[in-house]
Amino acid sequence: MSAAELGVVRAVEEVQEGLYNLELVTAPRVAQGSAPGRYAMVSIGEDTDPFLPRPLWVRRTGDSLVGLLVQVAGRGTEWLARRRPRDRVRFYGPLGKPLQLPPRTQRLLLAGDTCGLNCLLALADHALDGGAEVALVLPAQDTRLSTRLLPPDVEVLPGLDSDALQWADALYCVGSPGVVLGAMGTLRDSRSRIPAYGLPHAPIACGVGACYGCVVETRKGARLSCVDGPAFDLRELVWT
Amino acid sequence: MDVDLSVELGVGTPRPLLLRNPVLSAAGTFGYGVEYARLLPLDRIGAVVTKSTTLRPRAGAPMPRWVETPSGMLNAIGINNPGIDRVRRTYAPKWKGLGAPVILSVAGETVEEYIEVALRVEEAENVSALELNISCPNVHEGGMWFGTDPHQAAGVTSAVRAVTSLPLIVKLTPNVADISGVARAVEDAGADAVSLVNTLTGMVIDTASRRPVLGNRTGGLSGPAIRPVAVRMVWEVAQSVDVPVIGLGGITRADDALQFIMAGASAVQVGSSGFGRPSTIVEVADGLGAWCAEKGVSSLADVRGCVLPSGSRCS
Repeated sequence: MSAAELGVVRAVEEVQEGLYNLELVTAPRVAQGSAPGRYAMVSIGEDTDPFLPRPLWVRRTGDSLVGLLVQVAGRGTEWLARRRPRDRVRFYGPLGKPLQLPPRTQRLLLAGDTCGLNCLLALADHALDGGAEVALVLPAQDTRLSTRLLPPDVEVLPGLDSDALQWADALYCVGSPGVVLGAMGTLRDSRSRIPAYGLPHAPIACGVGACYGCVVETRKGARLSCVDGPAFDLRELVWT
Repeated sequence: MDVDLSVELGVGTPRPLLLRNPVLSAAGTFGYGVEYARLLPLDRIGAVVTKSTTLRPRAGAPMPRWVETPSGMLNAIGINNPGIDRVRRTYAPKWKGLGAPVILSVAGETVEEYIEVALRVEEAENVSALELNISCPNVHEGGMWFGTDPHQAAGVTSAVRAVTSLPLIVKLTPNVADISGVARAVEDAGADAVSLVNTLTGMVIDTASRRPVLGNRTGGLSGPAIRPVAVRMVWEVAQSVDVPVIGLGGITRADDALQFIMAGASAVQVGSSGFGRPSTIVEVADGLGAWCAEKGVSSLADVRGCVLPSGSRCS
């Protein structure tokens, strides 16, 4: 990993209102390192305002290609959404521990929202490559996402319920804290015993474990999302 | 031409520290150095100043711990750290091969805690200097309280001075009316250098929820937004003390560092600007050398304090 990577925008597509898919041509090491669960710290503009980079999930889409999914939420993400082909985007990464699917996963259940979608898509790619079936639970407003974004073999479900949990042999929930909290409740109520992991969106400033700004509370104590995560056992997350 | 960027801290003390250049990391923004070892050529910076470390582990402040602000950020981490014993076990052995000397930042809630942690650092391996954090705005006991009163600041400084043979840097808070008075007090109490400024206390309110954004309610402001305040304070302190002044506050490039040096700083620290661009610290160090070469300046001493009034102590 290098402290300063450059990506050249190959394509930008608005996949639903306010949600943009940026395809970047990068050094091969970036694409190769872009395993599910990994993210990049993406710089906004060339000036000091906005000041901090935005942590974005990276999804490998080719030998030297990665996809970033940008939900416009403020000036930084708006700047990213306005990038055009051949523009340069500066970042560092990929960072974070790559996800390892539980051995012999045959039916992978994914849940989340647009905030975690790119990670879920990377996980879906990985699971489908390994021959597993994949179902994806998204909030109702997101279930009509461009089929160009979703692998064709992924079944999209409108809600996380005990039927879906009964079907699955592993669960990953990636997204805003509310979505992960909801999944924790559904999992608890269902009494399902499948391996289940939560990747709650945490405010990451440094990405390397230096600033202690992205604490996630677990039953085993406080953890840093940026280096100890991003995945935590869904049954061990503690909401404070 | 040959450019000499080296700086010596703790001249005349038992363990003076010669830095290859005057560009250091700022405490709290660079972890324990090892986090950046794979990412950056640390043999091109002056020194690593670690995260502030206390006697016992500290859980820190409630989330959210930071929020972006115009050209800066407001943070309240609350000195979340694993405690000095674990730092010695986990990080100190790795500092030998880090490429840059390590200055351990220490903090406490009482003078006794500062003394105890300094004693344990004295026995630690691979620590080249101490920076006393008496200026953290985000802890409820100790912290900034020590740094806002010259007598308290002098008290903790002399207590640590008595138990450490390492060069002793005292980090000052800008949240005072007279920072020069505090600087003089810690110099008289035995500080080998002062670093300034720590963060400016601030608040951001989420008008939708009608609450402060940070879990701690208030936090410390850093980044380019505070740079002019920091440069002014370095300029004031440099006129008031003889010990080296280390300037920090919103340095993003070599030109920013030069402002601090021209205001009288002997060295600088790079902090939160490294979050957006980790290579900032290396670029500032390289850039100072390039500037000297381009301007025909053989040493930064030639321009240090050049804006100070003539006859002032640092000019």
